[in-house]
Amino acid sequence: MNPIRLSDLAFTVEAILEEAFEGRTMWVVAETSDIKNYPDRNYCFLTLIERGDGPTGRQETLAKLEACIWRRNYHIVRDFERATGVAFARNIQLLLRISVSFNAVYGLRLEIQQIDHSYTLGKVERERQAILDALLRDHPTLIWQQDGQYITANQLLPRPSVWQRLALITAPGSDGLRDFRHELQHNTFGYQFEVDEYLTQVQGNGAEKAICAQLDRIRQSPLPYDAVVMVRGGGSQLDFGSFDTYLLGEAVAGFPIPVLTGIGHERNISITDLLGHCSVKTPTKAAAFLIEHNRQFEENCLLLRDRLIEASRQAMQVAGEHLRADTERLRFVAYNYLKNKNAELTEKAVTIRYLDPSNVLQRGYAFVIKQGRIITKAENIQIADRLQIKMYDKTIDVTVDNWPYTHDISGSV
Amino acid sequence: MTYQEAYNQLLTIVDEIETESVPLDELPDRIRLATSLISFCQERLRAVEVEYLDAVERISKR
Repeated sequence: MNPIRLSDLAFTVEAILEEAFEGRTMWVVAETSDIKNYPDRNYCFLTLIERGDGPTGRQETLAKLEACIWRRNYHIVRDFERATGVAFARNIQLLLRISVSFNAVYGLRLEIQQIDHSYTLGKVERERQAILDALLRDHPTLIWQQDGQYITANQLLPRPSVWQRLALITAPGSDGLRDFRHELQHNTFGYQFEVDEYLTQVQGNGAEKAICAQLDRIRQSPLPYDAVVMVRGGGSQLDFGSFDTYLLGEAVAGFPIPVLTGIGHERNISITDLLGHCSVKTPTKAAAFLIEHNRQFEENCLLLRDRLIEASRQAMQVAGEHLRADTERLRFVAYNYLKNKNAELTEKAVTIRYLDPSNVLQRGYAFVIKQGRIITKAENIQIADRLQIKMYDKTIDVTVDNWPYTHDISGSV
Repeated sequence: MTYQEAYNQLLTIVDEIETESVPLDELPDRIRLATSLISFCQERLRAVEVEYLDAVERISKR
């Protein structure tokens, strides 16, 4: 037996690995675990693993290698988080460009040179889509699609005329809580809101369960809330996982009270945002949204008030005009009535005057009277008849002495 | 009596006089009644106007 020194062995391994990997980089898909991140010192150690079905068919670790990101590449961590909105944390699948290095003291290490953003973005999107698809499939009465948009029962809930009684879900002592309340209290219109706080963790592992528990409390509350407001602010810009879960999406889509979200997501819209009644970017905007809705209501009231004043004024004006017109008409018809009656009387008087015999005599006519009766036909007169001629002023007696007819005048015309 | 009742009665009287379906002897009574109906309507209208102005003043304050 001829033992060699450990360092000689190490150097041999190093030489072999160097020959195999020197100057080369490779793209590797791996899952992160055991991250020791030192942002202040700009480096990071982590373990990369691959899980899969082992020989027994059970999930087990197939490979596990130490990795690191050195100072010159450390910016890739921040770039990754900024571009994807995903926290650089354990248990995430990444596509990495790595180089292999070996050190006699520190052993084998994969040096991470680059992280592929689109791989992670695609993965996040696929996961999100898978959750949405599952929700669509499992709850067709709560969530459906229309013209490419997600429609939920919560979105279709009627909005009250004004928002007044609110159930606020947020983290205790958070900036979101403070911003929301501040904006609400200092609204320039002086609107009052009743806000009940349902405080809970909103990020981190299991946060969605805690949020759902608060939703259950709100559902069971005897208070008639107008809206549930879910706000988040001041925490990590990355940890939105709980808002992208099946559990919370399901709870919000079918919640019996409109859910308004303002969870401060800069990059994209979470599943909770998508399925709730309405979503805005920040807690401050959530408060502004509520105030604006109430202002619209007041504005409508003021418009109605103006219409009421104008319509009443017009109604009175019209009534007054009608009354004046009809008063005038009464005067006119009464005058006409009397005028007509007078004309009627005058007409009768004229007729009567024309018929008065004295008027007839005055115009030069005379009556022939025989034995006290007025004679109108000559045939009733005979020779030597004594007649009276009644004229306008006097009546005179006359005797007939000339008679043109023979005695028998029957048949003559 | 409401404004509308008074006003409708006034219209009926005016129509009656216009169509001369009122006997002449009844005309003075009709005209007297019509005149009092007009007064009633005017007073009612004025009272409504006062109430209206009050209400406008009240609802215009914020």
